[in-house]
Amino acid sequence: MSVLSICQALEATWIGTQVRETYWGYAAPQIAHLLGMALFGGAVVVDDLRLLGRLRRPAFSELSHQLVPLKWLGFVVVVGSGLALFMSDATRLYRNWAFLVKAALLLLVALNAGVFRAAVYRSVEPLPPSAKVSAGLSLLLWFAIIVTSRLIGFVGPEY
Amino acid sequence: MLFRLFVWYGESPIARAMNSSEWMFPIVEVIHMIWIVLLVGTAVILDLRLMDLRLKRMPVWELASDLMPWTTAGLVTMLLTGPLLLSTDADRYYDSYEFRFKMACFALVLLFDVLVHRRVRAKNSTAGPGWQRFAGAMSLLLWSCVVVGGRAIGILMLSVTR
Repeated sequence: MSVLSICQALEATWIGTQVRETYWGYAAPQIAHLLGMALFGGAVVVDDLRLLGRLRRPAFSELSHQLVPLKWLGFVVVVGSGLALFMSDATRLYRNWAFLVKAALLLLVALNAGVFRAAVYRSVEPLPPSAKVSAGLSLLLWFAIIVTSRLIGFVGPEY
Repeated sequence: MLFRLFVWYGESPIARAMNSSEWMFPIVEVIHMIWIVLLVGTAVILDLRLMDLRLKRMPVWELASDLMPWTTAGLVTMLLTGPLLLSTDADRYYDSYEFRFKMACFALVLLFDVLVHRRVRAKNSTAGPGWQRFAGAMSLLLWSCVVVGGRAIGILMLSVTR
């Protein structure tokens, strides 16, 4: 089974068809994607700013703990709407270089969270220097992810 | 009258500069979207505090004074990049319900900030928990509408020709 045939199958699903061919089917996941991003991205950025010392309070452990439900809600909304959007246009996206770069960056940001952040979340203040590296990396990666997201619509191949 | 202003703006040197390269719009749009995440992301956290849903142990004014520089920087970036995006297609934006909806919500959230939100989050605020919850909920609702309206412009209006 080739990647192309998987993408074709995804596009043929009910979700893929609805998102591609109906007005609100397309608009709703697009809107949800950005709203979810404001929730998830907002919580992550505030975490990062705290780690970088750009916010003075509260203690990082309390802040990140309090923001966990926001991150989960935002994450579920962003991933769900993102998958729906991918399914609607899979055969074009899988050979769109901006999309492929975005996918690679998402893997890196997950790796950063999984490897470095896990250590940071467990440590107590004062935070280790690696916390700043990880936070800076996270901000940089999210910045690049938003850039590549917007590029998807502007670079080829066309439909 | 207002329509003629939009037409004039759509033919101004700013619009010509924005339309001079196919890369100008996506570059400015990316800046617009990165900063809206910072603006709304930090506003949401303060609003959830006002609604007593998150970070309850932190005084409102303290959280506000830490977050507001980022919210304000986001707002300033919106005010700089938004009109640039508008200039590329000003007369069509004027006719678009999505654009009107977004601008109405944006005006409301700014008005609400000056009249209510600012007082509630001030250091010496005497606002009770009822006012705090109301201010947080309204601000959250209005900012969400601004985001929805913004995305609606990009999808519903521009997809007609794209």
